[in-house]
Amino acid sequence: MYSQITDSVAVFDTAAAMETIHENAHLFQEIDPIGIGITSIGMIVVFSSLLLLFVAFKNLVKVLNYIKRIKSGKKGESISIEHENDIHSGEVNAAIAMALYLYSQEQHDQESLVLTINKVARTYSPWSSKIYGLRQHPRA
Amino acid sequence: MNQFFDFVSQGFTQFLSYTAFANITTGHVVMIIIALVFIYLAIAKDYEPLLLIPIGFGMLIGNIPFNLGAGLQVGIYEEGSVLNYLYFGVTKGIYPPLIFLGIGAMTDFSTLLSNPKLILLGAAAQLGIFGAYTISLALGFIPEQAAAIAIIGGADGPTAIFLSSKLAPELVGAIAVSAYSYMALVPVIQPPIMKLLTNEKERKIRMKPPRTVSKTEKIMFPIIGLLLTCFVTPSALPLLGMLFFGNLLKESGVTKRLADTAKGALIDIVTILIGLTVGASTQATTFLTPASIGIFALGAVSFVIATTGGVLFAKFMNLFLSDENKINPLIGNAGVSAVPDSARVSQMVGLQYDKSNYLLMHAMAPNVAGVIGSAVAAGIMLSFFMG
Repeated sequence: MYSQITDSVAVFDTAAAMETIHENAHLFQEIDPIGIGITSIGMIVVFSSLLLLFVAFKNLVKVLNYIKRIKSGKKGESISIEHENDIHSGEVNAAIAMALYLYSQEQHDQESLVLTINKVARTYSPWSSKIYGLRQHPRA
Repeated sequence: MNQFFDFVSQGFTQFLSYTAFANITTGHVVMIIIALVFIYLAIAKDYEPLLLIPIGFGMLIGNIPFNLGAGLQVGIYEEGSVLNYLYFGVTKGIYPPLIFLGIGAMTDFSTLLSNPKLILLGAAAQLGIFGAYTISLALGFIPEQAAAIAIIGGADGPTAIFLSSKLAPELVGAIAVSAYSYMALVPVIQPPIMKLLTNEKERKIRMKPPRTVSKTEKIMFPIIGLLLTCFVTPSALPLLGMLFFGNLLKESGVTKRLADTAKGALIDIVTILIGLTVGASTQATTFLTPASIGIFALGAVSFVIATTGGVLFAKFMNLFLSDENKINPLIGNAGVSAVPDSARVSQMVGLQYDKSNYLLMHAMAPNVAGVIGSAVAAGIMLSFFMG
């Protein structure tokens, strides 16, 4: 599949790759004609991979909390990044959304009445200078 | 004078033989009608317009009949044509990893991190891939073609294109069109299966709201995710590497410009190119075969198996979970990766039975896990056949 052209570089040979695929497929057709072998192994590997992720992320919070506790213990503080109980119910979210909505509506009404003048300060540049931009009349 | 008229009439006859009218076949007409249906579904029914419009129009482009023997270098399968160069991105598997980069940059994995057990639903739904593999074999497809067709069950267009371009390049067009078509039809295919496999009480299960996820967790997710999944299946590296890289760009908070490009301009450009070229690859002369029709049928079967696997596994998990941690099995369907359509289906069906039970945020967890799961499954298939 790979043909060696230098000591460190290998070039992918598509034709050889297809040849390998056909050979393997032929082998599978003989050994596992209904595909139950690949199906079983495939499902086991997919489950194992995602199970690994599950275990890792299940324990990630605990590890982070542990590290934080060690750090805070050294400083004599007690900080926790445990967010297990930091849960907002749908009602709370709805109340916050409603409050924000009403606030923004109110803001809009006020805004339409308020005239705002922004002071704009720009640094001087001869390229935008009014003196050079206007025609200078010669003084008689 | 006669010589002049002979020259003009000969030239005109030759011109007529080059026109589409002279080269049209029934296959072209069928494909043009299918293209128009795709465009109609995208515009009138709003079914995956970002995919169906480029694919549909690509099908129109690919099915303008021309004289194949004239060497005009216009067809997608003609070496040296512009479309052929653009199609390289599909046949060499370049576009799918770039799309995964964009998906990583636009996906929020918080729901998955807040309730990691939902990752397993993403694994269960991959049953669609392996189930479709055995059925494809039974229908007479050779193993490498069966593997490429089976990946449609992952409901992940880029993964399907990536795997089929490696294992069965001759089927890329049919597989891609089938995968994207069924992804667009997720709201039609999944609800009946979900309703059939669940009872009233299960559909009304209210899940615990997800906890807030810290920034550190979000940053660590792509790094840990890449290391764990790619150490098991390195063959999925092009897809998973780009997915997790895109996610790190998003979550690191210091590469906003890169993340914006990946999830904006870049993914849009690649989506246009992949959609158009995949559509154009359905040239009637090479596409309209009994195998393509078989692939379409198998695509539907694989979606059904995947949805069934996800829903039933959610019910199975409930056997071991306490009442307050129970999973609503209606989110099991989201294990097929079609992001975010299948999660929207969970929400839609859930709301039919309880007007205030919002399942979308819960369903996003198996949905994004499904993306990882289908990429891992593709990696397994690759290592089996290319190893």
